[in-house]
Amino acid sequence: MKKLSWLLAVVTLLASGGYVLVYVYRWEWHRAQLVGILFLALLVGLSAALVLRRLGQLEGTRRQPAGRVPEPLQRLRAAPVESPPFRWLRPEDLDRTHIFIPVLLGGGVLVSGIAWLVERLAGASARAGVEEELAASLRDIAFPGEPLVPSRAEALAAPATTSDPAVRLLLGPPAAGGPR
Amino acid sequence: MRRPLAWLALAAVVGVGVLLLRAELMTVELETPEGSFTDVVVAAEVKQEDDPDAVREEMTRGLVSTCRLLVNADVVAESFRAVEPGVFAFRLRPGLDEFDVRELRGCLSDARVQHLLVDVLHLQTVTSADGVDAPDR
Repeated sequence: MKKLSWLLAVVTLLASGGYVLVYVYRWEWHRAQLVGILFLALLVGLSAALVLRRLGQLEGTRRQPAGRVPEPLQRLRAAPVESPPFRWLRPEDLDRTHIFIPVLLGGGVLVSGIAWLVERLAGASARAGVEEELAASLRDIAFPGEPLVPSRAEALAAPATTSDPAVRLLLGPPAAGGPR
Repeated sequence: MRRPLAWLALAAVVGVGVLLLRAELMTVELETPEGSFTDVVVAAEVKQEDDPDAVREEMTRGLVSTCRLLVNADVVAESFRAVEPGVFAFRLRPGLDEFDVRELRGCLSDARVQHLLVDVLHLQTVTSADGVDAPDR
């Protein structure tokens, strides 16, 4: 009965809409106005009925019968259907565009791994060369093997044993042979 | 992908329909030849319980007077007559072009007057080129 009502309303809507055009074409403006009003009223009524039906469906799904535990079969039927995993890998979908995104993500991971490996190799090889070069540079400014300052006994025995004027200046007047 | 195409096709159909309707409803002033006239025969029906025959001619005359203003033509004097019971004939001068003929037919057939239904039986414009020179009745 409800389906029949819907069918009747839709057929009437289409017919009234068509007759509006027919009457306008025939230059019968009064008839066109009357049928146009009917068309608008049906349109508003059908739209309201659609909205109310949708609201009723939503309310029905939201409202659970109080104090009644649903049967296991009802629970199973009410449970959401599990969607097939990796839908984008189905053969019929391989030529679609959404295969592009997983491939892009996978390619990104692969390229990141290669970049990480290259960086590690470059760092390892550069560190050995840099250390050798630094050691060679430091060797030129390394402290001499013998102590810069003579011991007290050496100073007493030979006040000016060194011939280097810079060392003698560093040693001070005793080393330079000056008066104390 | 199918739904936008369907909407696009529907919009195209509606657009073409509106353009066709506009072309059909466009009123263009055409020169009517000198001496042309239009003969009209209508069948009138009055939906009234008490004595419909008495008011039928009067209501039809009123409707004709309204509709002839719409097409800017005059009813020839004394040309309005009852051919049969419920069938009336009259002549308009000057003759109507095809656009005015459509307007007049729509105006007469329209539900303009309450309780009165008019059916146009004959509507023809006669020019001097047609070789007809009928006297006004």
